[in-house]
Amino acid sequence: MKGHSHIKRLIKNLVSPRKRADNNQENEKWQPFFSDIDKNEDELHKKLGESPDISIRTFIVRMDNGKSIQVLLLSIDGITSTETIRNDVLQSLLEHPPRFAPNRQVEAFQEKISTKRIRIIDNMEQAIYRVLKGKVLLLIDGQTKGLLIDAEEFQQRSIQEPDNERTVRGSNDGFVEITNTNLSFIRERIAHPSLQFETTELGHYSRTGVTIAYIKGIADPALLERVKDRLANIELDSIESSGQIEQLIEDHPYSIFPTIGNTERPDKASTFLMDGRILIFVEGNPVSLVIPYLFIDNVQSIEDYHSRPYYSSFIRILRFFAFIISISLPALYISALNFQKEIIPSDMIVPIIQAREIVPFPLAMEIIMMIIMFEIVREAGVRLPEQIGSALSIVGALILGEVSVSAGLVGAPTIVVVSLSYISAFVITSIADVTALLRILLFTSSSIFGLFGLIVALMGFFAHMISLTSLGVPYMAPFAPTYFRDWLDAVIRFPTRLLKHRKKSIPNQREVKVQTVPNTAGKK
Amino acid sequence: MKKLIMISSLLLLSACWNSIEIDNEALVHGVGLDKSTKDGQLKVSVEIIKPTNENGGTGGQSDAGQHIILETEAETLLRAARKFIRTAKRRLYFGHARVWVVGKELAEDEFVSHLDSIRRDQMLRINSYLFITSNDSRDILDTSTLYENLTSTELVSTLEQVKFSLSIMPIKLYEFFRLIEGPLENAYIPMIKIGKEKDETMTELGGVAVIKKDKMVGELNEIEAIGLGWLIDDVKGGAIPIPLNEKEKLSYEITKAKTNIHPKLQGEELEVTIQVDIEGTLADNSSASLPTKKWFIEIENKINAFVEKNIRETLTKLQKDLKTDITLIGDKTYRSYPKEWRGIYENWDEKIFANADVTIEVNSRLIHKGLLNNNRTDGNRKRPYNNPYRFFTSLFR
Repeated sequence: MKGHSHIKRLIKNLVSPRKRADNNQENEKWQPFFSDIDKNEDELHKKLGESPDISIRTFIVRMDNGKSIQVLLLSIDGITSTETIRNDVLQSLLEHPPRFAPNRQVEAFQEKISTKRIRIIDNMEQAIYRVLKGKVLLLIDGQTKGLLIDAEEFQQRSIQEPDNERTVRGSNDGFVEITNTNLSFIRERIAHPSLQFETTELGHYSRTGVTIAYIKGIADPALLERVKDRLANIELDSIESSGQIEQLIEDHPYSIFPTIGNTERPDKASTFLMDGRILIFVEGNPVSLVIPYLFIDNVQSIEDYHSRPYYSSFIRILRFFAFIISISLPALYISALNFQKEIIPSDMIVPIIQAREIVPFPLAMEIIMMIIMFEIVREAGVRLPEQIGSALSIVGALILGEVSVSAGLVGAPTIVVVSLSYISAFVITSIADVTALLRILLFTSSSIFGLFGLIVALMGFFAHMISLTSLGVPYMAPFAPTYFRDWLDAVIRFPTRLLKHRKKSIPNQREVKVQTVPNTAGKK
Repeated sequence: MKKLIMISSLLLLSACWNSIEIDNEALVHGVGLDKSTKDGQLKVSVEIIKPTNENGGTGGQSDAGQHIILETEAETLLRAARKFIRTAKRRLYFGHARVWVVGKELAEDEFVSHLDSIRRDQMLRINSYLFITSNDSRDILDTSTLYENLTSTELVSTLEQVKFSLSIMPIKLYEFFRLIEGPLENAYIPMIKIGKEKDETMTELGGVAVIKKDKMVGELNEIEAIGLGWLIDDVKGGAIPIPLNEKEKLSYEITKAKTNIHPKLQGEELEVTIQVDIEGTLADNSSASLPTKKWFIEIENKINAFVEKNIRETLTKLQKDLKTDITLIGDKTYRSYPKEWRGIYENWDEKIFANADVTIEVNSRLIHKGLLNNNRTDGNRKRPYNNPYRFFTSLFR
């Protein structure tokens, strides 16, 4: 009866999901502005402290009836545009005196300020949080309401093609740290009102803007609800990266397989959106999350659709093959040499045993050593500055490859096997980390039990992969729930004019994606 | 936690640890079996891959004799394998044994029972090749090689070229056992011997040993072996020489061959019709005669006669001298008359097969018309249809 309480809790959660969406508002306690501007200034100073980037200025504005009124302007240097404040706020207020309207003084000021967005706010606490995100607060003497003016200007790096998702034929832009810029990339590609963005703020302290992007009418509403619900239930102090959100909302947080994908490419992101997927952008992080993300997506590349189908299909098969090689080659090698010696091709056995004879270590240790050395070289190469990188590659190639063989520490076939396995992993970079782990696990299993161990471990991993879901969507679709129509674009990519339907593996509301194709010269 | 302990204790319960480092084993590539001088004992010799070479094992430089030959005497094969540990200092691994050579003396003395552990033991590969030698089998394994490091490897690579030669009939262990356990219990095994090329000794394949029940009863020479090839429908290629007269000789290269055997059993009387259909090209034509329809028929008849004579010689030897049926005749009869077979198989070899009336029909065909013309083209060159410029020459005539 132990499981009873679990089920009860589950049902309770299903019936009344705890809405945490307003939790962030909790510390935005209701605190009205004072009508006295000096009191307001003191209060703001008290709340914000004496940080040098906080600028609180008071100045006098002359109104159209000739009377003057004191005005306070609160902004944070560096995240606001001084140009906007000067031209659109200060200059317009000084050059075009606002109306004198004792009851609607705030509205009168609002009319004269010419920034793109402006709203009236009456909660001081909330106003402070907005200011910290780049807004400008304008308070008028004698009024208990303030004006919140849009003047954000974040520092932005130049737009570059992401290093880890390069393509030969395709657009060369990439996401940046500023979500607004990223959203503009998507808008550029999908100019339809159905493209929706929804922003929430996560983190008590960091107040990170998290934006969900989807296409209404294509994305599955149930999936969307699930994503929103998961995000709403996140309650923590700060969000450091999109990877953190990924691990918080995925279905299988303890699995080694990532069930939520990521991309830095706008063209890829918009293709994903058109599939019916949901994207999550996190402020301050150029990596957007893709939900759902299936195993087959690791094998596919955006570039496959840009060029003709034949070579793309060949490359996809190659990627599959590379994945299998990468995870199982060292395991197969040790099973062949230590257990099932019959499976070594007879012509290959002479060079293999000649190489093994001079190595002083057991084969398992030899391979483990090589795997660890490769991991060290790889990890060092990632972190090193480029100037030292070349030195590292010389050390890596020469010491690990050439000298260790001639010194008799490692056999040449072992180096071939391990390095082939590593190089294959780089064909599918999106799950290179999983590949590295799988390789070690399969190797361990088969160094104890031989081919039998390899097969059992592989079966275990396949069973695990089939059981995975990406926010409710089966991870191994279109294979494990078999959708034959999706096979047109799974391992082999059929010609574009045959791919008329959205993938069934990704839940969507709009089945047909290609309505008509031109009839070309009467040939199919 | 409980589960974890349970699962990890499963690892301790596993009984047989069969992880053996490859450098702790001696890999046998070829095995020779001979009759020992001691009574009832086997002389077993093995060819082991030498794990180190003079260059420290980094490269695959082929120094002559990259193998170790060991020899021991024991009652059984398995006993010998254990005995070898004393001399080899490592456990012998027979999983890569690709060649089994049986000495003729042993072969003539119920040798099949000695091969039993090949099938029974789990680590032996059954697709290795079997030979019988009239020399000492140890010497066969110890002959110098032309290309490979190991004599056995070279023997195996020879057998992969077999389709270009008519006289070699390789047999794998499982094929041998299939024959031995078939309806007739007879088999054939290719012979191997040590030949001499200038001063070097090297292995040479030729001839076929005839196995009746479980011992070798005789031997077919190379020409008779070709006849056996036809009889067991195992001809895949090869050349047939056709001498027209002293000077003019032709070669006929077989591209396709099929033997059909139609037995007719009446009581204990057997009538067999052997139909051989051959397709082939004229590979070599040194005659000066013009290729005409009549000439082709003449050649085809000569081929037919040659093949028929070849088959007849082999068949006569098998029927009269050896009284052993290693052809497909017995097998076909068994399939056509499965009920009658029970009654006759006891005296099949001695009576029915030996006295069978065999008709041989050979039907050969020359294909590839382009290869059928005369050997010299001088005469043809001036003929108008061979002149590519005949249109222009007619203009300026």
